[in-house]
Amino acid sequence: MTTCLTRSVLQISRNFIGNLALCATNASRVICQSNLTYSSRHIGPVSSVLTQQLHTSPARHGLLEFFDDKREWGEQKAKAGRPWKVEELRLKSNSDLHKLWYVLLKERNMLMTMEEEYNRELELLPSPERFEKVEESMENVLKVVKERDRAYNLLEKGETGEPGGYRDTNILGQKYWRKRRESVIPSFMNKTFMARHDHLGVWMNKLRRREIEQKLRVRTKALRRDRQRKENLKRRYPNADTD
Amino acid sequence: MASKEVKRWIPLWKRLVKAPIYQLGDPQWRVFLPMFWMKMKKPSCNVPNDNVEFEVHPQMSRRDVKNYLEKIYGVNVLNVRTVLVQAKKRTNPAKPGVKWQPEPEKKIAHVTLADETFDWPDLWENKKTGMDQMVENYAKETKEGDKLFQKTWEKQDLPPWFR
Repeated sequence: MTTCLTRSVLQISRNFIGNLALCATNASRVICQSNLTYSSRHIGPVSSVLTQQLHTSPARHGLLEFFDDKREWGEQKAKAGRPWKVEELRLKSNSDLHKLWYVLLKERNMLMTMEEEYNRELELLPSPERFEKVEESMENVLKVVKERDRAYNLLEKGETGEPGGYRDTNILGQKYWRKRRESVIPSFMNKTFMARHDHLGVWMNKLRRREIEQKLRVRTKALRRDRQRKENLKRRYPNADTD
Repeated sequence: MASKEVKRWIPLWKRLVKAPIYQLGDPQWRVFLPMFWMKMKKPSCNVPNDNVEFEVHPQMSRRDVKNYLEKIYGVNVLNVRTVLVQAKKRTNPAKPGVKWQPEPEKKIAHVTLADETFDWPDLWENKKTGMDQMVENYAKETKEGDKLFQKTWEKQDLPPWFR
């Protein structure tokens, strides 16, 4: 069951804190599954260490995975762990992260449907902060994946692999920072793009000069205001430090 | 002075999903970490057993819905219809004639299942709802309050700590 699985996965991390009460109920069920699968494949004696590994192959329940566990239906309270931290996810392998993503995705879908259903029945969803917890752990997974991608690219190519940006001038000749982005045809073949970007005309000189003037005026005004303030203070309190 | 742009934090489920541009001859685009969400809804009218209604991410297409259900949930799908449902438009009484849409539009997918049927479960079967609990509590409190009032009806003008 998805919910049971998610909880068991979430609870691996919770073991460190010592909240074992919930873990015992769900983990025992999962351990039984793994024991069965393991014994069918191997003829030799089954070691207790191997059987205690958490086995997370999904028990498919189809569309009922959109709903919470049957034991939780109509309850006033729901217990939930904390979200996955980045430090914990950094220790996981890529395939583990991939599996965890789908677990979290299903959990989020479940919470969405439950919220809808509870609202329809004019009820309050128990512990709605679960949604944000799941979202936070999803974002952490994305963060870790991005870090790994970056590190791989730096090792292999010497670049981060991110698009980056460059200084561009717009249609009025103003400078700005533009993000590099994908395009169907390269930009030098795109006539409208070339006319609008990085294309300085003589008629822009007037505008550009005025822009510089305005910036300078703002700066000088600020300086003058500051100097005036200091002079006034000096006149009022001649012995004080104005700086 | 140009004001500095502040980036607003948007929750993950509301964010725009960006896909790379596909050009002829490229390898097929594969999704490793799908961002789409789906939530099941109770159908608004009586429908056959094998029809299910979902509210889906607004960028999802019919094929996306089908693949999502088949690959992630392992449910075979026969047909999908998607409908864009507009939210109700409202008018401000102070400004009649100006309409605005407070909620965004919804994309709803009607799915017919291939192999199985699905009945909408009743979550509060043989159980007290929160509303029932509230009504009970209210009745209990009022009863206690009445009793207290009957005891102290002569001393109502005194403060409660002195009765």
